[in-house]
Amino acid sequence: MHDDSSVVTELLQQWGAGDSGALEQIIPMVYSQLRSIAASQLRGERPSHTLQPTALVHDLYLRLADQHGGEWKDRQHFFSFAAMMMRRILIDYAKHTKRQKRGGEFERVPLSDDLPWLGTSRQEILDLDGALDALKQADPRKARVLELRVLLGCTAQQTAEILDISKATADRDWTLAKAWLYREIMSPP
Amino acid sequence: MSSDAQWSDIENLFFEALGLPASERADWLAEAAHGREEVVHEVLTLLQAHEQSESEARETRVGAYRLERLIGRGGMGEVWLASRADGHFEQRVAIKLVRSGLGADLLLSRFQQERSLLARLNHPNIARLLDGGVSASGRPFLVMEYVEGEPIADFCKRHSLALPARIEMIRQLCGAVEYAHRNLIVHRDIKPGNVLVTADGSPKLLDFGIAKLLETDSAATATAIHLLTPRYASPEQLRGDPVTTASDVYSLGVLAFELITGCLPYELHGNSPAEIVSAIATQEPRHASRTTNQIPRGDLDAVLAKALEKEPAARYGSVDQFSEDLKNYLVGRPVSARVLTTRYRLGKYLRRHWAGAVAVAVVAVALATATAMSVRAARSARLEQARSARVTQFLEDMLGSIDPSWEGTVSRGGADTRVLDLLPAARKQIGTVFAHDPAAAARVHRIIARAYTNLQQYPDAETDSKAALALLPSLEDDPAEKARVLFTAGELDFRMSHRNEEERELRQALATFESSPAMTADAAEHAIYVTKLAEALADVGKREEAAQYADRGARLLGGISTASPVQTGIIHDNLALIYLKIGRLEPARAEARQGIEQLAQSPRPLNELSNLYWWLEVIDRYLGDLTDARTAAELGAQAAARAAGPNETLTVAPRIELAYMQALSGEIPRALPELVRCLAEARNTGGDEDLFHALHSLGYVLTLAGRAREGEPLLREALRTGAKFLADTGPSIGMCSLELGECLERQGRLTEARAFYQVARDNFRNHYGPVYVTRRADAQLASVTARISSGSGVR
Repeated sequence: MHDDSSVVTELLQQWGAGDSGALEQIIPMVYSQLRSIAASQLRGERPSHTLQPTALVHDLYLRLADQHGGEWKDRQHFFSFAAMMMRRILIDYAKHTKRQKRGGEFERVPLSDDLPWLGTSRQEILDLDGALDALKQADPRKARVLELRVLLGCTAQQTAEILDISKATADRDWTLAKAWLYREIMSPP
Repeated sequence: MSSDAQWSDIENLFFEALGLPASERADWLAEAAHGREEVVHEVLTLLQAHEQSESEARETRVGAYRLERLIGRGGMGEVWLASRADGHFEQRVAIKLVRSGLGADLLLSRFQQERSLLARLNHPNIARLLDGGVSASGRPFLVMEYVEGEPIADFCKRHSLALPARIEMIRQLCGAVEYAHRNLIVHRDIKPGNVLVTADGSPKLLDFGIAKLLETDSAATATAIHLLTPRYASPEQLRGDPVTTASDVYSLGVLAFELITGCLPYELHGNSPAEIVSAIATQEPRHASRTTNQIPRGDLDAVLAKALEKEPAARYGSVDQFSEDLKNYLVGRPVSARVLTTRYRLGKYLRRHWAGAVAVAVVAVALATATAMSVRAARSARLEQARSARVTQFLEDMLGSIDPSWEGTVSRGGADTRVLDLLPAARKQIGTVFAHDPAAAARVHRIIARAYTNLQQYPDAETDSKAALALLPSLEDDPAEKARVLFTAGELDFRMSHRNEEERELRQALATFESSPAMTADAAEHAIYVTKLAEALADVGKREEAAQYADRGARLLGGISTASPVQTGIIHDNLALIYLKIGRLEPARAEARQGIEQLAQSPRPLNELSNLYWWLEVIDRYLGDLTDARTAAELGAQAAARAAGPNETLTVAPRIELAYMQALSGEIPRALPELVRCLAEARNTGGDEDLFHALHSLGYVLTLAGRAREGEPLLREALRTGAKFLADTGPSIGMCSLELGECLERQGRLTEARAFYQVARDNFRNHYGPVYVTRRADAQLASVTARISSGSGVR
């Protein structure tokens, strides 16, 4: 895993230096992760839905590709950026959904297997977005843990490696961040 | 929001309190927080949120449903009574939570494939499948209509239902199963436990199509699952042979036998699965009348025995026929089970020795006709023509059906070579036999030309096609036949790449076809004519006109309801290829998907299906949908494997595609060795096309693997190989150039790379317009150009 991590970092640097091929190499390495999170977000959607899991991943892919020339310090930077992109895409998606007046009949699917109580309805996505911003104010690292785990489907181990913290810390951050998110979203003041 | 210091207090207090029993937390906190109420409140609400979120994460909920009560447990998992948890509307459902270990991904992908089919099942005697997904803990689940009822056997017993009422109930189930079969779904697991009778006395069949979703690929698991309830499984299911509608007929037969007699059709001395399997496989089912004195010997015995035949082909041809015969029994009519024995035996013979039988029939008819004709030569011309019409119709039916692309009935080089041997003899007789009926002679030549074309014996086909064309003047009164002769000639010239003749003949064929309102009423045939012309036009580069005809074909096809799925599927398949050739990716994808939907319904494995998946993969890839492309590659390889049969090794083309897609989605270590093998095979046995694909795929995957130097010679060889059969300006050369460009860029050879990117970009743009793959080539071109000008990439 550590080797993998340094490979990604190196590739990111190459990409930053203008080697467009490097992105093509990074993407397959994070692709399965992106795909699984995308699938879990949109699992259970009817095929007719406009945005399918693959569409989501590809949207992300294209946006990352659009950032060609962006400076990638390291793996952490890249993943944070990917998570941010995923957030934007989700919000676009939520807005798009509203435009199509799906509202009430919109099927409720969990955003992540770890948070079965959080779905992908427009309101829930906007709530999540707001909650993440608020958490970032209070505790940026926990917000980042939440992003990686929820938006990109990273495991605790991966999260720890990406953020360069111990797994125990990653676990602890996750526990508190989860409770915090639940409180913010499920029982607003 | 609280200050940083306060927040870190809150965090620490939260985790310390978490370590305490829940009842002690509040008191402890009040003290530990030194009376800071805000902090206490924060920590308490967080603790509460933690508890709630954790309990919700346990399996009280799956997807949008709240589990309420366990209502059953079986080999596959548990069944729960549940209701929608989102409060949008009250709906009680039954949820099947599949035992973990049954492959969530596989189940989900199958569910997504079958979902539209299953959702279409809307019948009063069928419990509907509503939804499916994967639970928080990773267990797949299926959501079904909740049926409140009593198992059918209990219901019959408790109400002491008389024989006619029991048979009526079975017939209701038959209606439901027949309905599902018409919608192309086989139940596969019909048994008393899957039939509930509601309070108003109507039976409901549960779990339609579920068995197929849950089937595993591993033989051991499959056996284990069959062994759970083998009593109602058909012999072919136990053997692991393909399951068809006939398997449902069998299981309905066992169910009927049990409801009527109260016991199984087999004598069991033990209850072990092994014993049951052996009884089903070997024992002749006993006569229903021997097990009870409630029913007389004879007809009902015969009806049940026919449903329970060991050979699927020997059973009723459909559930409807079974049901019809049960009705015959009820109203005292003779049952077909006893009448049809001889025809069945002949049918069985024909099925077993299909090609041989056709050959025999062709010769028999040809000879018989020759004799009859010469003897009756003096008879009136009218009578003669009527006779030759019948003869040619027969020939048409027989030879028309050896079309290998149609249902894949006859394999090339096998038994049908005997038919081929007989055709020259049949051809020689045409002049004599149809001396007084040139129109019939033209038709026979046309039929034989078509048979040869389908068997890829083009020189022979040409002989007959030319003979038919020479007789065209005799067909002035028969525009339908004239159109067919022209079409057959056009199709043959298409296969032989006689581009000019092909276009001319197909235009004439379509014009003739459309001159007759009677013919254009057949939209399916009309679509075939239009589509074929579109294909010819695409081949000679008349893209605009080709698009017009393709659009027309697609519209005609959209209005067809009568044709078989295979027929319409093949036309979709042609349309997809045409759109692909003329660079219209979106309509190509739509046609490919529709074609797949149709062809996947065929019980026979079709080569066209794997081709369609392949095209879909290419289209998805060019449109940037890599995951879809990969799925298509996987399904294509599976379809190719099915079409090849269990003992054949898979052809190299679908394997290359699959490995290439695996590599693109990150599984390079898995793909590389397979591509190396594929290239070796393609060099040994394949044509240029296979070789091209193997070379560029391996070359590019090596590049992706960081071995650009090794990939380069392969990509260059691919370009040379491709040049033999691909247009320089086409997308395949474009893709190969893009890959070579990347390979060179990785080696720091930027100027060379740029030239290839340019070829790729131009080819894609000319052919497809501004789609994903064009944008990608464009971006890479721009990036390498920038690198060159900044001098950054020179190493």
